[in-house]
Amino acid sequence: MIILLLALTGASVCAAGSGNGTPLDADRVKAAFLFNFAKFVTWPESSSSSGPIVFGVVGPELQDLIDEAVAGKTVQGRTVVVRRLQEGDDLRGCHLLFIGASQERRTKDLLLKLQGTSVLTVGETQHFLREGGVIRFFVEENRVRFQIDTGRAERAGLRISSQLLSLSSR
Amino acid sequence: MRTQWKPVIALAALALAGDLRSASAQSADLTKLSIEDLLNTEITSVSRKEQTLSRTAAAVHVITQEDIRRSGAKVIPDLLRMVPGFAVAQVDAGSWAITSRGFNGIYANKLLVLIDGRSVYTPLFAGVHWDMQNLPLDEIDRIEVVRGPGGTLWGANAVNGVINIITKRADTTQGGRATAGVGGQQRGIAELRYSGAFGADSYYRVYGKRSNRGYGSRVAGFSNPDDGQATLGGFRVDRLGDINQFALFGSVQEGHGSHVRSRTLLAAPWKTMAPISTKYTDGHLVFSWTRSTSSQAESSVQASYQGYGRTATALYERWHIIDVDARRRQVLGDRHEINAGVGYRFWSNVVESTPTVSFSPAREQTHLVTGFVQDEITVAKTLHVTAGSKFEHNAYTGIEVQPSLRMTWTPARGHAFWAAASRAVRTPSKSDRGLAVTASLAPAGPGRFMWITVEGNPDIDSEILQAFEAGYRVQAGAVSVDVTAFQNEYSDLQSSEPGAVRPDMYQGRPVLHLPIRFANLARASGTGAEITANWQPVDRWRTTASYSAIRLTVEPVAGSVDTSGPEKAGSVPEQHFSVRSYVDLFRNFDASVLVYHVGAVKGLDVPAYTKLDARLGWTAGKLGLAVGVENLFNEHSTQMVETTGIQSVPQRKAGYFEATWRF
Repeated sequence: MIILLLALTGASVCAAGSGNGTPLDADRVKAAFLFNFAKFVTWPESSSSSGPIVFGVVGPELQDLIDEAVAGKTVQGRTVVVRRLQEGDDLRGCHLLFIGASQERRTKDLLLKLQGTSVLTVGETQHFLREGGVIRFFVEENRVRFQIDTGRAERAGLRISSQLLSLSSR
Repeated sequence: MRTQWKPVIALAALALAGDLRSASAQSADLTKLSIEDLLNTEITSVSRKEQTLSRTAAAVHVITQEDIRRSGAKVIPDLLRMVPGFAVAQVDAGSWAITSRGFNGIYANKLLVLIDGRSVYTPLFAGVHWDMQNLPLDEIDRIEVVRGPGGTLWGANAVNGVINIITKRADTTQGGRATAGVGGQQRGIAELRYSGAFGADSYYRVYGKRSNRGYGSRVAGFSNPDDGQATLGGFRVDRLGDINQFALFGSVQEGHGSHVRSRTLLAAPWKTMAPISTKYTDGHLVFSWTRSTSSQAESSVQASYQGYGRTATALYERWHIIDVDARRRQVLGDRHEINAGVGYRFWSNVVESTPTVSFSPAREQTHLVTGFVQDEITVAKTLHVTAGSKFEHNAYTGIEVQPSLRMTWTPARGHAFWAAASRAVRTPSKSDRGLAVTASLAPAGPGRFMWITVEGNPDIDSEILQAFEAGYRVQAGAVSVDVTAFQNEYSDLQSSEPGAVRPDMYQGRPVLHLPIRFANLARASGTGAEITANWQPVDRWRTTASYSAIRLTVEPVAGSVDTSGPEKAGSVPEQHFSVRSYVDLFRNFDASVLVYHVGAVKGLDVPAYTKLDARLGWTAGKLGLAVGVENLFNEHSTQMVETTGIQSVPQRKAGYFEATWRF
């Protein structure tokens, strides 16, 4: 009888035509967001304005997924390059820097080093904005959301399109 | 599990059209979705937070809100059936024998139960009065269960497990909700809750519940043997600042019920089955403050008061319990995360005895001081070692130390191995120290009577557990598997030792008195394993299967004449198996089927049984309806034979209906 019940529920699942595969990993959604942020942000004019857009990643969380997300794509006509950054590497050569939650202990120091630069810093820890970051991911109702510190973005010389601002939380 | 359709269709199109690297949608290209679509994409509930949970070096199981809603369970004990390694046996509608990893009975004492960090076990017998746990299930955010010694972070008595029932914060429930349910063993439930906000960052919730239990059946010649009723009301206020968070919550309740149990009589026929009635009032108030100034440091303080008065026929107990504890989490350098805390507990107790059951001393006040410290060390990127210990000083057994060493190894994304060695202690309860109950009074020859008593021992010592555990978790796409194995060695386990027969007086007549006294002259060893597998091939269908096995042996130590070892060892089933399946159907319907197969309880001669519950729910906007059936195959099955004499009332096949309205 159990088999019959499970078979029936399985059948109605197929009939309802669910097109989706496995449930989505939050990290995959965040990697897609990072790619999208680059489309809606303008960095200040400088010597790096014509080369590829550089995404720096600190921490293992999204490394493979960001590679996948940017492979073979362009943003505003420029290719996107991903750099994995270790302890002691220079972070300032990036346009966008993602700091994973595993780096919670170093985050404050990293953000201090980037003060005065125009790196778009993105993080996911609770205190990321307070510690000096520009955009922070959080999860609400099983969906990935983001918060932007507009004051800090302005001071860094970053111009964030009003479309992205209107979709940010709070 | 409900998804927004738009991103799903977009993804389906992508999966079909574009990416041929792999068949699964994991490789679908999300960068083609707009930001609006990404904001609406539902993510798997195995978030990285739970992946962090998956790196915990302990056997953890979380009962989620979805599990609570879909199981059709109406009381917390039925939810605990889902936890692998747990034995949950219902004696009657208000009495349960629940334990983790062995030693079951309604006075099971090796499991610590907390609600929001506040212990709800009664110091009377270090167990739980389950009929007093009437928290509305809708208040629960999740139930975190750790099997095995929780010694370091939780109190003593967390020998075989800790259950922490975490309630929802007031900001996560806004508006009102009314629920009414009829049918089944918990035959009528009505709940009402309202939440709102005030000030800039403060939220409140008030709730009330009234419930009735019992089938109204006839068992062993008694009608309505296990009926009961409870009424409760509660509130919660949360103030959520950026740095400081405050919470104040409490509830009061009143209930009564009945059980049928064997009673000793002071005249022929000396023993009979008779109904006893229980009545109780109970309340608690908790204040908590958490302060987190940065990601490196967090402090919290919690103070709580609880009190209850309970009468079970003539036996009356009253308790006032005050708990204060403070803890701090601090990150040191690159590799250390320290957790430390201190706590103080005070209780004051009165017990009014009957001719057949008494506790001494009748009035008592005592306190205990606890402290714990734990360091989680990042030895390497993939290896974490946690070392810590809990310390307790109580007035009866002095200082108790419960050290624990744990490690987690995560060689690759999605795999974690863990192992732990711990020492845990169960400190004596008031019953262990000062119980005196008449087990029987019967004629023993012309004009003479034999009076047998079971007595506590004021010098009794704590029971000790050394536990060795290991586990492995893997998550690969739609499947996740969690395996745990353990080896438990118990020493100084409680035993009952008959003393010398001597002449005595009882109730005005001369008797021959045989006292059976508690001592610590037993030891035991337990071996077991628990496996849980989760399969979610599509977003709308999830199936979880669990299997657990345990083998216990209990032996007397030299000097003991207690022969109840095999009965204690055989007080839990050797095997449990369960399958739960949740499906979201078309048109706002959702269905769930839960099957539990519980093995035979060999030491108590209880045969195996299979329980099947099924539920069909429908939600549209503000209204939700559900119908279900419970106990489809275990009607008339006894789940437990209670050695203390409570008459078992088997569950019955029943249907139920529930309606919920949000406003």
